[in-house]
Amino acid sequence: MKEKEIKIFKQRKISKLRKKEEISFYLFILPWIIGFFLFSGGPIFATLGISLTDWSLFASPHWSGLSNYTRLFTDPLFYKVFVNTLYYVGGRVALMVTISLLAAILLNQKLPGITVFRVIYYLPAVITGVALSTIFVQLYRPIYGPFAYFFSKVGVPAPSWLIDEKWAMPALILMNFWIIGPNTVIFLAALQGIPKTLYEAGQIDGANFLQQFFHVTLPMLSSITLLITVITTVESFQVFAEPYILTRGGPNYSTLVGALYIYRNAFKYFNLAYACAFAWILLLIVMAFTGVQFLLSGHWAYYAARRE
Amino acid sequence: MSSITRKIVVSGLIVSLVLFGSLGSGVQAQEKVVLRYADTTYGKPIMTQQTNWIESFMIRYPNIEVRAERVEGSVFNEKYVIQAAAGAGPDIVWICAPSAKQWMKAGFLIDLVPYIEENEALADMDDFFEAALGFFRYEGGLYGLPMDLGPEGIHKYNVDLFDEAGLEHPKKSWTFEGEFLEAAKRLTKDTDGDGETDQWGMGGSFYEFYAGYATYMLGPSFLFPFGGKVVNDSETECLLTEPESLRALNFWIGLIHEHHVAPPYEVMKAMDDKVFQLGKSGMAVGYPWDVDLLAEFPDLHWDAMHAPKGPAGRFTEVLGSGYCITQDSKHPDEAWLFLRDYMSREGLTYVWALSGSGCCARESAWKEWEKEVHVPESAYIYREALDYGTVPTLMGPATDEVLAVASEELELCLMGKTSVEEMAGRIKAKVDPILERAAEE
Amino acid sequence: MINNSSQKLNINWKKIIYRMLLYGILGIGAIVLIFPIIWTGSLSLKTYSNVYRIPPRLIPNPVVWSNYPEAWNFFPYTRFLLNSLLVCSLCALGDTLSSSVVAFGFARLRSRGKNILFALVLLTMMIPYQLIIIPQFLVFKTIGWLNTFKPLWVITFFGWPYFVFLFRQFFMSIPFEFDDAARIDGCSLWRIYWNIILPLSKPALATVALFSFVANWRNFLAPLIYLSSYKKYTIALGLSLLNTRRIAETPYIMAVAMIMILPPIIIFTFVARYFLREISLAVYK
Repeated sequence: MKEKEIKIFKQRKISKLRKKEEISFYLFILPWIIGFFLFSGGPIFATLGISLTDWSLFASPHWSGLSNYTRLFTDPLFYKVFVNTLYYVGGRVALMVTISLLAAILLNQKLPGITVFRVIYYLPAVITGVALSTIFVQLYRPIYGPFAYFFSKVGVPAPSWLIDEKWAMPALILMNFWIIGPNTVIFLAALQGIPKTLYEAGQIDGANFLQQFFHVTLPMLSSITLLITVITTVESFQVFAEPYILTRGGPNYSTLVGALYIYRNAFKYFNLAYACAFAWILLLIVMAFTGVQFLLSGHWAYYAARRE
Repeated sequence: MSSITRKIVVSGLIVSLVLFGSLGSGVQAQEKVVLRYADTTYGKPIMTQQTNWIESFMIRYPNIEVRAERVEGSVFNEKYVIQAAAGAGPDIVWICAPSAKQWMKAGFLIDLVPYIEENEALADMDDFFEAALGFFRYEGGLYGLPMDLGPEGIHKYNVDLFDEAGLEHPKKSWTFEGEFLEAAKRLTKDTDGDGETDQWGMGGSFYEFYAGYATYMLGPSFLFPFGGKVVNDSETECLLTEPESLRALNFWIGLIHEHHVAPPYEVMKAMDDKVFQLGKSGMAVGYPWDVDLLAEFPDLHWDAMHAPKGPAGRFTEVLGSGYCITQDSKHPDEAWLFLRDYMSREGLTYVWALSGSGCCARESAWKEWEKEVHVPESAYIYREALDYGTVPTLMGPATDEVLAVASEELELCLMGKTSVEEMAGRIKAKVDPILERAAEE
Repeated sequence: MINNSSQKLNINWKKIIYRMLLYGILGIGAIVLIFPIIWTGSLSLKTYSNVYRIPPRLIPNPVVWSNYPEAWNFFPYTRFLLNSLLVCSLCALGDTLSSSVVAFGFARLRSRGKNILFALVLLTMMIPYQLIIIPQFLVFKTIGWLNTFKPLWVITFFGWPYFVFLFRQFFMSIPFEFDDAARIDGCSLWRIYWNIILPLSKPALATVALFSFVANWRNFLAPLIYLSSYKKYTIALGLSLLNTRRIAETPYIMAVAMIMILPPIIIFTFVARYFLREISLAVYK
């Protein structure tokens, strides 16, 4: 009898502590909760509502049910945008994740002056957006631009980059080489967190560099790689300034990606409702992508400190 | 009168206005009224003149403060339509002709007719070109005062290159398929002997329309002379596949691909559409608003020419813009005072004529402009062109979308990837549904 | 003896070649990365006609220094620059503070519904900004914050999903022993956050501050929509004013762009040491 009483007493005490922790938790995340309702959550649900009307900013909205969605699915441009977006996101993520990983490995070597290199590799990432795009318009300029000149020197016919529909998207993806900085730094920190003992053990066993890379480095980096991949993916779906300034979605719609399509419909044609409908579909796609990525790598995750 | 004398006279006018104003005429309210005035960006000379004029206005009307906001042209509409729709529009907003109908239909603007009728002499409406006023008329009301008006598809030519080639200067009697094409061919050369053409007969500014779409070619200046049209008058159907339209498009695109008198699209883009300014083409299509900007290229010696005739006649597109007062304005009376003053004879002359920009909506101001120093000898042609000018057919709410769609197809054709007939067919297929949808609203 | 020294020589050769290879690869990468900035500088000092020249020259001839004051005088750029500095500094402050506070909750405390809420945080990260800007605009209009800087920086004081994510990851790698030790000493949760976790998080703080500053420095859409008054424009908006072919030639645009990228670069040089040196997540000090 007494044992049971003690047990209940203990549970009550624990639940009191738990409650206290819960309240503290909510206090700590209070800023986010307020912000969510005011600035992100509220507006998001508003857009869902808008997508079910025919609001065009010039007239008052009328209910129109799912007609925007049906229009989307019968619009060939929608599929083009869909494919473009996947192309861009896939290319960008592949480029950024692999190159930053490689760069991090290179920059992790104990060479004198390596810090200087790290600074240089991060530096261009500080210039993104309007400025970077403006600069790259000049770099990609046909005939008179440095890239065109470089190609002509090498003897290869220069593509017309931004006005050639086969090359416009690769040109946009290529630009991201310059902003690998932040990802590289994160990989660098992770690399430095791998205990040296693992490598030493591998060397004793006679493993060469490549084997060490695949059996020690990569698995230890798996959780960080997942993190970076997910974040880069989500980011890539939202890229707007570069296509907007460099190609405006052309040539022949080859660089019309999701964010640009939303912008165009909302701000150029003022078909607000249509833009919202499309944006919601895009959101669902991003969520699906992220979900799949997490599922595929669920059992590889590994955290240094974990408490149950 | 020399330019300096004229400047002294006009400055004297302003000074006397200031003195007159400061002697106590004008509204005598106590608190200051603040007006938001939204405008797009122009060349430095114009903006300087505008600022000066606004300051003189504020001296004459000490209880009104005018605050200017500037946004670049291609994002101008976005920003202000959103504000107007949210009920936060500026007091005075610049509206260009193609957007005017959208704004008027949506009810964002105030009808100015009551103000005009209050004091017709002060409003001084006779001096305005009727075509300019026409942009702002809607269902019996007048919703804005026009500021500028000009022929969009008027041509210019490089005097030095013509003289070099021994060609006589363009005459009003020229036809597109005749003398124009001939001259273009004579002017296309390889000047440095490297086997590649680097001087063309015709180049520059005939691909890009104002907002960056490659759709200049769909305007009246290019299609009407051949009897073609981009849409029918009620804007419900695309007419690019009609034989006359095809003939027109074949002519213009043929300049690049058939006759090789115009630079390839890639070259044009590489030069930022400045082929004419850099002295590499004999002729170009342009508009008079370019005049003060062309003055910045001191090596360029150019003059205006009448639009050549096409088989269906001589046409040029006429466009303009003006200023309107939005419904959101809390001080419409003061806004009207400013607007009327800004668009008065003196105002327009000071801002537009004296800055060398031209194309004023008032005939008097236009004549003043022609006396400016860097305006070419034949600048009167711009004013005469208004006689055969015509308003574009595509001006309704769906204009932006139609132009965006057409632009993509045009680019492909300009690069030589599709034929003219293909392009016209594809544009029609995409544009007809858009027009239908717009007509239903 | 002879064997030893010859073996030593072999190893040294290998090492030298290895090092040179590394420097080579890194060097090429570095040149490629820096090139755009150099080219911008080069273009900014050219005459307009030299922009369209084959072959393109790196060093302009003549060098037109006057492009800079001329371009700068087109619009009140100094004002724009100062505005951007003000707004971005506030944003950096807001983001680091609020996101780290929120992340502390997610990383260190247990609660019912925590995972769902975190999933919600991730969800908001996926929303494209162009979508919510119009309803957000209506919200700010109702509050009356139009034509002020407030819409640009106040939201950063409410947590930003991406930074919350980053901070949470970072915090979770700090061992719990620190917290436990502090708790035994009687520290409140807030003290733990402020006095222990934060000082240990310098790399994360530096990264987020820099990131936030840069992201807001280049932000273009929000200032466009919210700032009516010309004098309040930010520098990104200011650069776009020049981007119309009717106003400025390429050299002027490049000159303004060059100056526009300087402040982020300068801030970067100050902050870089926190996360580019030998950083390890083992901060057992």
